[in-house]
Order: sequence, then C-alpha cells, then structure tokens
Amino acid sequence: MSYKVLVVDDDPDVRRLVQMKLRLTGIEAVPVSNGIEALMVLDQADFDLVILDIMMPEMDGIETCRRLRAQERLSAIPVLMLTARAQLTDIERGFEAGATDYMVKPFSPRELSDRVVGLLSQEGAA
Amino acid sequence: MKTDRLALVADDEARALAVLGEIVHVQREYMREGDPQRMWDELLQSLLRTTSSAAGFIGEVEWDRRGIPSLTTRAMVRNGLWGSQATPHPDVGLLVSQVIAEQAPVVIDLGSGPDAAGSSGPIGAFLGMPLISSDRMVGLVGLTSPSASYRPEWVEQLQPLLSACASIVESLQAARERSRLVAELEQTAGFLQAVINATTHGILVVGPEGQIESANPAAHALLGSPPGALLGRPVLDFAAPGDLRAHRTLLRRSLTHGIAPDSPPFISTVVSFSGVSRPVDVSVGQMQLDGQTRLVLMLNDITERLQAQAALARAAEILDATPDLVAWADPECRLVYVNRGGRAMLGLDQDAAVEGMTIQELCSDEAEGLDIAIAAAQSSGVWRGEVKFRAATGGSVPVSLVVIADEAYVAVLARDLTERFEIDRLKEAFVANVSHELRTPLTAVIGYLELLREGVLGEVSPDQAEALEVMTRNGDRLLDLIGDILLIGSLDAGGVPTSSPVDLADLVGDVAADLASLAERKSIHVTVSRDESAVVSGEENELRTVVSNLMGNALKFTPEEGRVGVEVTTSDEEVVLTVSDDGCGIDSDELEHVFSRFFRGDFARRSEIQGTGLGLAIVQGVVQRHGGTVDITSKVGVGTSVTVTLPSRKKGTK
Repeated sequence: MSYKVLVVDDDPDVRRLVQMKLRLTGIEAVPVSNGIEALMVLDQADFDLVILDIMMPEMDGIETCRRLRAQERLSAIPVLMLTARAQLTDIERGFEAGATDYMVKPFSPRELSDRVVGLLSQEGAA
Repeated sequence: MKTDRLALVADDEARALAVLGEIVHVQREYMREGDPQRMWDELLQSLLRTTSSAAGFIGEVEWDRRGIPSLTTRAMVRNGLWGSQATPHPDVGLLVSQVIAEQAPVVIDLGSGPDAAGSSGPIGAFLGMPLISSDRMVGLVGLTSPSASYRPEWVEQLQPLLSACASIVESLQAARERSRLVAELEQTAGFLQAVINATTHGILVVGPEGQIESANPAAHALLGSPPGALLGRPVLDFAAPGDLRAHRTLLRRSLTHGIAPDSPPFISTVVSFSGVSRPVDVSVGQMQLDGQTRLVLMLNDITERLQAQAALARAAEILDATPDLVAWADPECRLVYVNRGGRAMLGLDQDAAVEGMTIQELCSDEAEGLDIAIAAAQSSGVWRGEVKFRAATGGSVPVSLVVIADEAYVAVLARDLTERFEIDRLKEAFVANVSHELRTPLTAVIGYLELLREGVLGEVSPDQAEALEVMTRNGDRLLDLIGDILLIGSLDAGGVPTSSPVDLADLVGDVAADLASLAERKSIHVTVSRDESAVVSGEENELRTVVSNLMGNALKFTPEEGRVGVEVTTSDEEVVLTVSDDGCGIDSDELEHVFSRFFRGDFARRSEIQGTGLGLAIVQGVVQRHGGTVDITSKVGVGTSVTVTLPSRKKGTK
C-alpha cells in the first residue's frame, strides 16, 4: 500500500530533504510552500498525513492546522508539526491547534521517516 | 502704770481725748516709718489702754481671688487670757470668725469665772472690731477683758482710731502690693532683657535722627562691632552702598510718618565693621518715646537660609531633569511636591497645582497596590515593587515603585517601565526569529549530511565518510552554540520564568539516559542517587539545560574509566543537585572565572575538548533566575563538584 504525504514548508531545501527521505522510504511526498497552498491541495486530493512547518509567511502552521481540522474530511488526518522554535509554548499551541505529533528543527531525517511510518501505521490500524 | 490709765478712761470725754492722743501718736509712729512690728505693738498697746483690756490682737485680713479671707496676726498680747499658741482659747477663734464673717463689730459679755468658757483663761468680755478702709475689710482688732464689760458705744468712740488703723493697714497692703508689682516688673524686665540678649536676631532701636540708640549682643555680632560701639552710629552706616539712597528716603519717611503698611524691606544687606556683607531679613516696628517715633529693627542673618534655598532650588532642578517620578507628601499623603518627570509620566500640565491632592489621586493606581505599598512603607520605612499607574490621559503606566515613609512624610519614586517592557517584548521576538532563521539552514545541512552518511544517496568512501563525520560534528556544535547563545539572550532579556512544577529527579533520570552512550563510550561509571520526587518551580527546558550542562561537563572532563556522581536531595525548603567527578579538576586561578561567558580553561583548550564556554554561565543564569545558587569546588587532579540549590516547590502551590 502506498501512502501520500503533504509536505508544507516555506524553505525549499528543507522541503526537498523531507521529500527525498520519504521517497527513499517508499512514501510519496507532495511539497507545497505555504499554508494557503496546502489547504488548496488538500481540498483537491486525498492525503494520508501532513508534515507542517509552523513559521511560514502568509499563513503559519498553527492557523493552517486549525483550518484544516475545521473541515470534517480532514478532522482525523495525522499532522506532524515541524518547528524551529523549541519553546514549550509553541509546542503547546501546536497541540491546541490539533497537531498529532511534533519534531524540532533541525531534525534527523531518519527519525522523521520513522515517525511518519509510525503515524501512518497507527492510521492504517485505526 | 496701766492701773492709772484705766482710772483715767472712766468717762467718755476722757476716752475721746485719749483716742485723739493715740491717733496722733500712732500716726507719728507710722510716719516715722520705723520698725513695722514696733508700730503694730504700740498700736495694740494704745487700744488695750483706751479700752482697759487685758489682752488683744490686731490682725490683717486679705482676700484672695475667690473672696476667701486669710488672717495674719500682726500684734498680740496674750496676758494669760487666750491660752497659748498651741492651744488657743476656743471661743476667741469663733468670735474672730464671726467678726470676719459679719464684717461688723461683735461685743459679747461672756460672764465671769474661769469655767465660763470651760478652758484656760478667765475671759469676761470680748470686743471685736473690723478695720474697714475704702469699704473693704482690711483687718480686725480683737480685745478681751477678764471682767469688765465692753459697752457698745465704745465702738463708735473708737471709730477714728480704728479708721486710722485701717488706713495704715491699707497703706501697708498697698505698699506691699506695690513692691510686689515692682519686683514682678523687674523680673519681667529682666526676663525680656535676657530674651533680647539671648536671641540670635539682631535688635536695633533707631532714634529720631536715624542713630542707633540701643543694640543687643546679636546685633553687635552681626555687624562685627565691639561692645557698645554701635550706640550713636547712624544706622545707614551699615546699609549696603548701593541701597543707600532708597534706604535713606525710606528711613526718613518712616521716622516722620510712621511705617507704611506696604513698606518695602528696610535693609536687605548689612555691611559689618570689617566690610563683610551679609544678606538679612529685616522686620521693623515703631514705638513712641517722649513724643518721638523710634524704629525697632529686627535683623535676621539669612545667609544660611539663602544657601539652603539655593540648594533646594538646585535639588529641584536636578529632580526635574530625571524622567522618573519623584513626589512627596505629608503623612496623610497630601502632596507637597511632584517633579517635572512625574507630571509628564502621568500626563499632568507642568504648572497644574497638585497641593492638596493625595498621592493616590495623583497616581490613580489601578490595582490599589499603591495603598498597600504606602501602608507597608509607613510600617517598615520602605517598599519596593511594581504597580500600574493610571495617567490623567487614561493610559496605564507600568512602573517600578519605591515608597519611602516616616512620621513626617511619604515619598514616592517611580520609573516608567513601558519602554523596558517593549524592549523585553522585542528581545523575545528577536530571540524567536533568530532561532528560526539560524535553525532552518542548519536543518538542511544536518539533514542532508545524514542522508549522505547513510549511504542512501550513493556509496561513501572511507575518506568521504570521515569528511561527513567532521561536518556532522561541527554542524551539531554550531547547533549547540546557537542554542546556548539564544538561551543566554533570553536570560538577559530578564523576566520571571514560568512556574510550572518541574521534577528535578525526573530530569536527572532523562539526562542520564541521554548521556548514557557517551558515558559508555568513555567507560565512565555514573552513579545517580535521587529522592523520589524533587519538585521545584520553573521552566523545564531551562532546568533541563542546567542538568545537561553539568552532567555533560562532568563526562567531558573525566578521563576514561573515571567516575561521575549525580545526587538529588530534598528538604522542606530546598532541592539540592550535586554533580561531582574525579576528573582533571580546575586550577584555583581559573575557578573564579568558570561562570564567565566564553571562558574555557587551559585544560579544555589543550585537550581539544569541544565546548563554547557558555555552559556554566547558562547554569548560573538559569539557577539565579529561578531563585537558586550555584557553588563549585575543585582540586586539580582530584575532581570537581558543582552544587545547585533551588527553592523547593511548596505543596499546595498551583
């Protein structure tokens, strides 16, 4: 079974890194550069998981997550937040907005793919 | 002799003549102003003679303000009839009282015989007569006889003598009163003179020609004059030359027409004998003596007062230069002064009157914290803290407040914290932004390095693997450095840490687990001893960094096969974390610098042990921010021990 993950990050290099690692793990990743784009893409297609950066221009990850959760179709999709702000309050705000899990930048690509696989298999089992 | 006399006064004519004779005698005696007691005695003798009495007395009566009489005996002949002074004849006392009470003659026949009065003397008759002068009873005469009865008409006949007697008593009383008044007056004059001599005000009496007629010691001192040298000198000799013309006119006018109510100050500067000028405050009074006007000048040297005023004005100028609020008030908090900075801070006009306003009205503290602060300062002298003021414009002004008070005043010092809060906010935002901006590129670097090292992007040669290893290590190091610098930055930004419960025992367990692989690599034996729970209040991330930095240091500076001990103990008040190692130790010269930023010891640099030199500076900053202390002891070649003491989180705290 092949999974499709949406990668939302305003930094193209990080987007590319995540995409590459997931591809090597056998997961299809669709990169977009901000929250507005992400919501549009999510509206058009089905995804199994969203990797969401917090600090982005236009619409930040917190707001994106909140809007995404507001849609019934997306209310249960796993959201893994990536944050360069390791402050406890940011992480709390992420969970309040509906994040499923979070990782602090810089992250280890291997750990990221492990977490993604873990979340996807939980999703599949559920 | 007395018997002869008694025979002579048998008839009234003779008695009248005798009375006249006695008056002449008494007056002559009185006029002679001889010994008063002798005069009294002779007067009594005359009365005894003219009435054929055996015993008697003359007493003076004085009335106090409440109209109560007091009797003073001036002359007395007892002759065995009146008992002794210790046991006076009881009837006599009663009869005397009756005379005083009725202010009228009392003539009584007591009958004869020694038992009639039941006491010491054989009194036969009593004659008491008031001495009345100017309608006022000034004394009395009491006479007794063993047998002979007194006839009431005698009173009439004796009247001229009694009147003369009364006049004498009155004169004596008047003379006594006069000398009493004179003594009183002298005392008052002496008192006034002493006051005039003792006062620090110079007092000059200026005569009709403008010359000094009298001067007290203070005036001599003020004008630098030898004693007495001021008398006769024109008072304007001591006026400042520049003021002379105006003063001359004013002086002449005042001496001629009296002092005008709106008269300007008379002299404002005096020049002493030695030419020293002194500012003075002069008050002028006038008095009439021998039909001429004299001026009384009271001169007060105000050099010190002017200096104090100048100092006060300078102080006010200085206080106006600070943007802080400085205000003081009386103990009831009614304002006396508010500086320029305070007015600006609270949006008041610079010339708005504040007198009568209370401090609370001025600052309209939102949280009523000001009342508490003032009450605390009034009981303990000083209060410090942060409150919010409300400006006249309605805005809120956060301030750092100091209230100082004693019985005499309440002073308020406040510094506007608006700007500092804004700077703190900007600093925090900056820290967050920098954090993001620095971590994002590192994410790509470290991430791709991992992919390369995993070999998933292609096979890696051993040399390439070594290069990637070095890059990764330095990437991690850069990340640590960024983390340390940002943490230092947020510590500098100040503020109070959040007060979530943090279990230090758990933290030690977590960190020990994180560092286990490092310890294993160096074969270091780590012992962890901790109480079940060691809960403190604070920021978990920061405290984790403390534990991690201390344990990381211990592992870094302990050679292979060494030992590291971590201990967490708790008491009611404190949680104590001790990290000790048997590593290289720190030289005593270096020990005092270990908490300085970017400080790295000789050993660390020589042994190429990686580090930023920020670890212990962060530990100290975080611990102090959490209200704790850090102590370090070390001995080269023996090891190092760092002890962190933090206040225990009280049970029941949120």
